[in-house]
Amino acid sequence: MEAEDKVLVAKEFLNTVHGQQGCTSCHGGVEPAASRKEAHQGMVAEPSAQKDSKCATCHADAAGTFEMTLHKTSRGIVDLDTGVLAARINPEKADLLQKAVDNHCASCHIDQCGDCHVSRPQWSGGGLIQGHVFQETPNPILNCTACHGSRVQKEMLGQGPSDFEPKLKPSVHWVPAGMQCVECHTKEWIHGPSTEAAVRYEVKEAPRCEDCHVDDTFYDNAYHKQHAEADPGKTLLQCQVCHSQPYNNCYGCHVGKDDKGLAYFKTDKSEFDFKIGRNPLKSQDRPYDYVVVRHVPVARDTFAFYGEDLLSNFDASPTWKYATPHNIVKVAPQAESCGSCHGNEAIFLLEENVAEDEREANREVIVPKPPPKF
Amino acid sequence: MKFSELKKAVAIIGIALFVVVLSGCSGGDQDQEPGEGDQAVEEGLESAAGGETCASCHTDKKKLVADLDADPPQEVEKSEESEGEG
Repeated sequence: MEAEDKVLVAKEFLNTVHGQQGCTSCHGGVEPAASRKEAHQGMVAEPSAQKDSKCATCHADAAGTFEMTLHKTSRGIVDLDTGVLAARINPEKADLLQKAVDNHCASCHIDQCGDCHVSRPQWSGGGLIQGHVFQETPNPILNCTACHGSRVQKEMLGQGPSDFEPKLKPSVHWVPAGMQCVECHTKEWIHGPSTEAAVRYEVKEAPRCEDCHVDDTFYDNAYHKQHAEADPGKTLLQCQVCHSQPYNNCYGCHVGKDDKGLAYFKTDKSEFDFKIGRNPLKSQDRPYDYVVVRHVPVARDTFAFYGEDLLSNFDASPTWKYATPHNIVKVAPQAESCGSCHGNEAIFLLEENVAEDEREANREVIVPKPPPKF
Repeated sequence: MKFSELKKAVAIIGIALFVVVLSGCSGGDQDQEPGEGDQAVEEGLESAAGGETCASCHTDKKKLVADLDADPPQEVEKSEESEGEG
């Protein structure tokens, strides 16, 4: 997006409820002015990032609780006491680790209402959408996947390596359904305080396939009856085990600072794969025995630039994580028949699929004995 | 009915329809809230006190391009050493 397009306002905006507030009522600055410099004196480019921003005047509920959401605080990533790194850290070197996390992981968050309702997120370069006309529903591509690109966007749109077999398809929720992200990730979830949640899978309002798909006929399907019904003696599968396609996995992220002192990261590789593992997050809400697992980029020495052994408890948490890929299809290759899964060792996370250095961390996830052929 | 009477009736109906159409159009205009028309746009674009308004620059791509060419914004510097997917 060119610089001028990022700040180009549509004349139609001036006729909207928000436009009629007047530019300076939200942005400050000087109007009228003889020059850009004068006009921009005291101007606030992103007014909704201000604490007690004007948004709350009319949208008190959403603006008030948003301050405490995972999207705003990023605590799922940056909070070393409760976030995804909590189990792995070396408590004696927490200060060094916090510095590393602040430098490399804390910038990825939604800071303000405008990042979803007015412009592209600042993290991905910003730029007005629809000429500043406020959008009630964030645009799936320009807003949501502007940040959630390497995994969610690729999955949703059926993107991936061009030579990948079997060919990847877009999610049925995108084609043909054309669903918006907010239809599952509701505004109550996005705006809700979710203070009880340390990480995203703990949010009570998180999307659940069952909310839409389980009806009176659901268990008429023999596969559902066998694998989706909570019944002692049956093996319970997460929906994605049968309905998702291969997805992106990242390995070996290392962070550092270059000669200019600018933060950088390097990952060893990203690759599409599909693996079923044992459920590392088994709970009342997620009672599945087997789930889809994704390799996350953390490595034992991810933060070595900042000090030795910062993740001294690396093995306390798996590197193959509970996953919910967004590339849902009605019949995925592993669910074409019973034999597509039973006896198909390639789709299970076996010990041999896990790097030797990570086997201890993934002990609870690795499948010791995949289901045999019928 | 004589032919002359028929012509008169057609003419009257035609005039009546014309009046109805005209009144319908002006009725639509009256529904518009104050400040929702082009006038509001013009008010946002022009300042009675002189000088540029925010909208007069930010709705004009040519002005923005000229301004940004003359005084380019500072780019946020990012490391070129990053590799891989974030």
